[in-house]
Amino acid sequence: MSLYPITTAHYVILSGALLLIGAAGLLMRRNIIVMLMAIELILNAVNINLVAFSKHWQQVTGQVFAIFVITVAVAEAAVGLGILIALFRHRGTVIADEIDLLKW
Amino acid sequence: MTLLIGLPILGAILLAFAPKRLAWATALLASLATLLNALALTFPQTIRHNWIPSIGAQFLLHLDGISYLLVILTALMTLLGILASPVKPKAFYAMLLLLAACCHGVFLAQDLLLFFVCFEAVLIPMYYLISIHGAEDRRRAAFKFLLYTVAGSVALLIGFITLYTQHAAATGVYTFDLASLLNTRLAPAIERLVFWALFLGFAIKIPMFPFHTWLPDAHTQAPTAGSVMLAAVLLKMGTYGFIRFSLPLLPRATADAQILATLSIAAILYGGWVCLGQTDWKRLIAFSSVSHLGFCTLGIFSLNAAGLSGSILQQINHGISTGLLFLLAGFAYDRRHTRRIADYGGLAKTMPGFAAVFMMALLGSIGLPLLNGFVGEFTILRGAYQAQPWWAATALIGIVLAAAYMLSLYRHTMLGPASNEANIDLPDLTAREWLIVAPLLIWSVWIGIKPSGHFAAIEAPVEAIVERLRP
Amino acid sequence: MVNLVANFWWIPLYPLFGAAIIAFIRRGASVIAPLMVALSFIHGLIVYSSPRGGTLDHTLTQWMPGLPFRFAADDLSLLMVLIVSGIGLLIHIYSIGYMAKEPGFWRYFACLNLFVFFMLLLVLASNLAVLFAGWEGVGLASYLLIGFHHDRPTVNRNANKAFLYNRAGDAGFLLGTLILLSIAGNVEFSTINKLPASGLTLAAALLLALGATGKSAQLPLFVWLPDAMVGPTPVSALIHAATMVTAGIYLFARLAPFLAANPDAGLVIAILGAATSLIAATIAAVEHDIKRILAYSTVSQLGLMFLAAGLGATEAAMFHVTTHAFFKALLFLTAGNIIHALHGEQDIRYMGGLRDKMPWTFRLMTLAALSLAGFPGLAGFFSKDAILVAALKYPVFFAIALSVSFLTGAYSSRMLWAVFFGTYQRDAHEAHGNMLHTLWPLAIGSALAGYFGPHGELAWGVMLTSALVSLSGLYFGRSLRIPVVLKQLFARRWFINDAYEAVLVHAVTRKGARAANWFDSNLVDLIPHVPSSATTTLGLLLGWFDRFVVDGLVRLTAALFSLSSYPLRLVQSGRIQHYALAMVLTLALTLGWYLLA
Repeated sequence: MSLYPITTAHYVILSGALLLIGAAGLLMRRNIIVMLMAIELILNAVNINLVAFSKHWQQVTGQVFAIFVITVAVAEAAVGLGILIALFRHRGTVIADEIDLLKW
Repeated sequence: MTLLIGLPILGAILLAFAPKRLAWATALLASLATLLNALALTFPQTIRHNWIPSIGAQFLLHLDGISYLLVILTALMTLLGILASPVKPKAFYAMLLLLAACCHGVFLAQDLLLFFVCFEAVLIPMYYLISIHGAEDRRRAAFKFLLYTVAGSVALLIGFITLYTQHAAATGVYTFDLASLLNTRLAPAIERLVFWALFLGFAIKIPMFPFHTWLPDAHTQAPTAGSVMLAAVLLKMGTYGFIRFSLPLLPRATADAQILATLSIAAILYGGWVCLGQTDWKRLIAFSSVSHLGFCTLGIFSLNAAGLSGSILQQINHGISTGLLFLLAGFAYDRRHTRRIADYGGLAKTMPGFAAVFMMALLGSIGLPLLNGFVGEFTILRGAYQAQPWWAATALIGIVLAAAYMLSLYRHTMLGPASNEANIDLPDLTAREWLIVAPLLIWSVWIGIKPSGHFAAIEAPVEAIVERLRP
Repeated sequence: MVNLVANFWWIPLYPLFGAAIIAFIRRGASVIAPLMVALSFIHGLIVYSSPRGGTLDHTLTQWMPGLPFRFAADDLSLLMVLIVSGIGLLIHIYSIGYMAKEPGFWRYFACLNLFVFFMLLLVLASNLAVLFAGWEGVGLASYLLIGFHHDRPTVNRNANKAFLYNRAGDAGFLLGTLILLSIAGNVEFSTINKLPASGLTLAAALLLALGATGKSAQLPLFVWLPDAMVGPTPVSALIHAATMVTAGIYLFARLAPFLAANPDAGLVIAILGAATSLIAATIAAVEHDIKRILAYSTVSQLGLMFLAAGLGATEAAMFHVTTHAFFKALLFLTAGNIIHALHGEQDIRYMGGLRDKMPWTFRLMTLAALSLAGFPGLAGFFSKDAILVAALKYPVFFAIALSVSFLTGAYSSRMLWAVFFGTYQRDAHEAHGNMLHTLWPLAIGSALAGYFGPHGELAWGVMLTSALVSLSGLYFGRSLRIPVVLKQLFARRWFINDAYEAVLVHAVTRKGARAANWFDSNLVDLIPHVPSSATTTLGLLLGWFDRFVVDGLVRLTAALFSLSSYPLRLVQSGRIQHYALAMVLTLALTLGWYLLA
């Protein structure tokens, strides 16, 4: 069962793909909860990248930074959801297109 | 001599503080003092003060025979003008006195900048007199007079500045002093340019044909004293300017300007001809001024002693005769408030004294021998003949024209039946009016019979100018 | 004792003082005026009859440079002094009666005295300048006197006319004087009479002659004299018959050597004189106004004098001046008597039969008329003969002079027949007092003056011919028949006056002056108006420029800003996804540029 060996490149491609999917989801989805999920996806893609390069360069810095990112992602998700709930209570909607008070 | 300028200014300032009912008396006193001062002067004399050393302008006054006669005329006319206007506001008299001061300045100044300043300064009181105290169309007439004259003065200034800079380029000294500038050698093209620039300024002032169209309006709309000063004094500034500045400073360009004699003759004949068709009394006299000053300029541009001295004397004569005519027109206007000749007629019956004085003024004006006009005209014609015989021949037609329009004016205003009701009970000349006309009549006869004193006074300066004109 | 001979220059001054005094005090004119003229006459007589030793000379003062106020008296001038002051005196006294009830009595005498002053100044002058002073002065006095009744428009017009035609002549006179002054340096008669002939002196002589034609009413300037008859009759007698109009001939006599040196000028003068003489005589033959007949007669006689003077016979001319003064003054004064008696009637067609009513006037007038016509033995006969003798040089002139002689007789007798004979329709009284007795000296002169004149060789042939011609003229004058065509021409005064009026009055003065005025107000006045309109227009243009172009740029810039804000604000959609997209794009672009550049 030996297939091709899994190199760092595979991980980078995976993280890049996840980043793009997350970015696309952030830009193209209308629902803010989904946008938040896409942001999580982006953050996770970054995490994968960090860990992959930590293994590649045989340094622990990447993994430490990944722990920080996870923590920040959690905090940010909490805050984001809090804003979302407050937004829903005032506006009655979670569709990004309908929240445009700052429109000209 | 500075008092000639100072006394009238002092009088004007005093008038600002004088009570209204003493205004006339104050003005009379000031002008009388000026006249007496003028009569007491001897010539030649010079006064020199520093004025603007940085550009070489001095307060330089010089009195010679020519200036003396003109200054006496100015002072006398100011006095008579004030006498002829007994009930005017204070500002009127103040402006007349300022006018006199500036006129004296013009006739005495030997410094080009001082001359120019006085030349221009004359316009302010005159503008005031015409536009505030004039007749029905005064605004337009005053405006036209002002702008037209100023336009000429701009050219005059350009000429003066050119002279100034040329002199500085040649000698390194910046000065406006006439005596110094006489020594400048100018290139012929520049000399001609300066001459025509000065010509424009003086010719509009005189006024020479065809720059005369401001004169009839200004004269008809001005009040009596204004007309008298304008005719007797202001018009002479142009001819004086030619004699004092153009001829000595620019002899070769002047000698080339033969066309100016032709222009003078045109003025004589044209002015006389237009007079024949006038319906306004003062307008007729205004055009007659154009004609008479044509004689004066003809004398100047004959460029010889006879022409020049005749011209100067005739300028004085014109001041006397035309001043007298304007005064008389003013007296008639005071009585009837109209200048239309057709409104008059038959005045000799009701105002015989007036008619007699008018006849005397008329005869002096048309040049009857034994009166002033003839002496001046004859001397000018002599000079003109010496220069070019046909000038004298054509100018002589002017004396017939003069008789024609003057006698026509006399006939329509004084003679004939007094058909207009309003003309029947007019009062004759009052004592004040007799007082006004008397000095002019006496001077007129004096010059007519014994002009030798006058000729002697101007002989030396005229000789000096002729000397400079010699090629 | 005052030396009256050396102080001869006082002679003109008496009437000058008289005029001044009368003008100031306005009373006593009837005494002062004649007195002054009498003083001049007496003084003149004394000087004339005293031994003088040549020409008297006196310089009063330097008048103009090179022209002294200088008097000179010789036989010629003293003769003129006597004529002027003598006849002047008679006319002054006559006027006391004639003008008795006129308002302005003092004014009349003041002017009359002034006239005598100027005339005496003229004849006592020693140079052309002083003569000119007198010359123009008599023109002035003539104007004042013709226009005496100045409340009548016609009178004023005619007075103006007289002055202006004189002035036209004076312009020529002045030019001639200027020419002579430039040649000789002064204009003393003694100098002029010695000048060598040249083209310029000929021109000067002709110009002086032009002046003389103005003063003496010859072609081309004679039209003023008949119209001058609107003045009072004594004025016509003195000024326009005896004295002022003879100033021209006096000038020629004074300058006789000068004219002799320029014979062409003399010929021109003679031609003018002859032509005028004939024309005027023909007009006189058809005139109806008694004064105008006499006026044209004067012009005609002056023409004869011109003829003589032009041909060099100045003695004959002066002789005729003297005799003419007598009989013409007498004619005018008797005419004045008639007019006075008929209360202003002057048309001879309305007179008649006055012989019985005014016998003395009749006799005096007939005497004068016969003398004028050249009745043998009377004064006029001898003086006219002198002229005829002079005219013999040129047969044409002689013929013309004879024709004039005939016509003179004709119109004289026509006038006499019309006035004094026939049936009288009017009531008239004879003249008396001043108006009659002043006429006796004139009558004596008209009769006898001829015997005192210069008598050259008595040309009996000429005398006989002239006598015959005169007598035949007198005879035929009674029933003079002129062909209608000619009569029209004469009655219209040969259209000369009409021509002058058409050109000078209508064309030049009325229409011409109006045209000149239009030219002045509209065309010459463009000189200031064009630049001022140009400046005003330029000002308007610049204002437009300032408002639209300069300010436009400013406003354009502002507009650009506000315009560009419209699309730009559309970027603010308010949607976070767009903002996120913007962030991503910016990041991608920056990274890409950074990596690729």
